[in-house]
Amino acid sequence: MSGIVFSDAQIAALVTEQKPPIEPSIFIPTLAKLRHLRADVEVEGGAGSNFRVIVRQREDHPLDFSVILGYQIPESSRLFRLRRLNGLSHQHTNPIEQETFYAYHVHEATERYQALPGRSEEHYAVPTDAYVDLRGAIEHMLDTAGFDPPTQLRMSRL
Amino acid sequence: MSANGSAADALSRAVGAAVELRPSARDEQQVLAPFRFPDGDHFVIYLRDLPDGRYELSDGGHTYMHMSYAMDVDALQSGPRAALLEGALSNFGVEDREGELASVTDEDSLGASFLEYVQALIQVSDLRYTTREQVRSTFLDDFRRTFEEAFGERAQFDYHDAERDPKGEYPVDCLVNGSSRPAAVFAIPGNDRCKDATITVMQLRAWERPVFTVGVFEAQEDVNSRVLARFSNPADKTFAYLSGQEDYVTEYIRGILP
Repeated sequence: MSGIVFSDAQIAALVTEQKPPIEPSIFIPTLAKLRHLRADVEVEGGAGSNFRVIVRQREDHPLDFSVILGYQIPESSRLFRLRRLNGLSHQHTNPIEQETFYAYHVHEATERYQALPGRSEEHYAVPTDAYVDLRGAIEHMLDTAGFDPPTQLRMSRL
Repeated sequence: MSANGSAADALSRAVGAAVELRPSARDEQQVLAPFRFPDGDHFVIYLRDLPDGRYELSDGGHTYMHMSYAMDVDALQSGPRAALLEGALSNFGVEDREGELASVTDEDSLGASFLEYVQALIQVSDLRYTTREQVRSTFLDDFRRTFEEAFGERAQFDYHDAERDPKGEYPVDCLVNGSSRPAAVFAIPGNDRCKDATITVMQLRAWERPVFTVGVFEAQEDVNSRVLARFSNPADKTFAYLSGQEDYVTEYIRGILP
């Protein structure tokens, strides 16, 4: 959490790097621990980058969830969190923009927050109405983060 | 009223105004307050009415879930971190109900209990940083627990070659057996251990032992570059960190074992 690891342009390139088609159901968390459900899925990008999708959902609160797209930095064990799609369960504050909201929101890694000491790379978040549940958030991530649509879905859209 | 009294009133009003209640469920409201994680997300806190007239503060299990985005929260259940966690909770009268952090209070103590509850959440949340700087001793504990869980009886800790090295002068932190070419894994918290691991790797090479040598660093950037280079050259694979990447490390090793 110190110093700029990736520029905004590099972050955008990693987010949009082509990724293989994956059925959304693969990401539905089923492993129950400490009152939440977990799923962790490794994904290899078209350019050879290694990504990990981390999904969490509280057992007693279906709207308290996170869908995270992380990039595995080569020759390191560090996972750089590119995107995080959150449900409707808590407030979020962007200190640079001086705004606080209670809404579904999407965290995005940014250069400017990496430059702030003690901040997570994906600190910045924007409210969204692109989804209203975990399944919708997973599909939104697949639609916006370079994943090829699964063949069945593609055919059904023809 | 004195000037000090006015200041106290102003502070009391300002602090009170910073806290709001949002209806959540029957007999439960969410407390919206400015306390937050390092990523800008606010703590999740509920205030529940109990049948006996008291109140309960609860996070509904959110805190551990949030911490799991960046660390292995299972590591909080054992070893030095478990002791730190227990201290953070017991100091503020907070219970861990299998993942839900909760505190019961009454109306007279509600304000003080709320502030103590928040303090407990902050201390628990900060345990993620013990993975690096604050508690060096957890690294070796984490390493052992990670490999025990991942490989069970295949993981042989503090291994040495009984035939060629009966005195144990060339120890391997963990030998992962189960194939003709096992993995010799070294846990490396600093320069001294890195030098020792280098000597052992070189000796294994001299003996022509068919092993895949792996170095797992607590924080690779903290190791002197020359010391690191001497290890990295003969070693087959290095991992810059263990913390938060336990599954990645163990899956890699599982993958290289035939």
